[in-house]
Amino acid sequence: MDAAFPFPWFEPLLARLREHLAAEPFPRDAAHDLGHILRVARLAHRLAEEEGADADSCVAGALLHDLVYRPKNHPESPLTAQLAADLVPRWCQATAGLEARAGAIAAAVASHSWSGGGTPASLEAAVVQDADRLEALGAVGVARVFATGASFGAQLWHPEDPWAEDRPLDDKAWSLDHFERKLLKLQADMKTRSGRDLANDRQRTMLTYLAALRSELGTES
Amino acid sequence: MTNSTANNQGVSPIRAPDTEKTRSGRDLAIDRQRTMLTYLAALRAELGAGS
Repeated sequence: MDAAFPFPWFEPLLARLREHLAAEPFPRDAAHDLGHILRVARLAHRLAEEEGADADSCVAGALLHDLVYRPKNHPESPLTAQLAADLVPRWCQATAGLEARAGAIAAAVASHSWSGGGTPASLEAAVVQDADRLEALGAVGVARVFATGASFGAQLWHPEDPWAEDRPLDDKAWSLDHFERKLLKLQADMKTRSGRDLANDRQRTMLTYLAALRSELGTES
Repeated sequence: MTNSTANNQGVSPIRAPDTEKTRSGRDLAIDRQRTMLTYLAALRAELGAGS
């Protein structure tokens, strides 16, 4: 993995991040753990290189994008992007090589989230947002949506109307509803061309999964 | 998803078609095994995608 991140600041920042994660007040669900952060960082690195963005800012933004975690049913959950962005300047000032990028990285972190409703104002911010959204799509996204739902007590799907044909969507109660409510809309809102290309692949994977699930649920009903 | 959860896909579920006792059960299990293998191939590609 080190070879994928050729930045002198990477290991010190990762070590500090590990300490931060170990001391957090809320235990992270399986979808927002260090693995998620590192996957977003790898995607951000790839997108940055393909888009010609500043890779240092993109990868650092990805590493710090979930610096503040609140469970999805916590009242501060929609505010975590801004809460994380507020911490970013201090983290960057304490990391040799990132001092001059603090503003750009904080802006990317502030605008990355779906629930925060932020609009990226730079290419680097667009890369970080796309990288995080790619994690909600595809085979990884399928695993993460059910893990997140389980973390706050959602069931997999409504036992009698899984596809919400005769009821309003409720993704707080049924994880499957989150595909229609959010995940299947992400592809259309990707900000970079490279992100869109990857999102297209991942959208196809999700639709294949959903078709298989529909078939299985129909077989048993 | 944790590594241990992902690794479990290689233990019991993938062997399911050999252990079903009825022909109908085996046919359905083969379809579902295909679905799982398709899913795992996509997951493997994605986990390698950024690295």
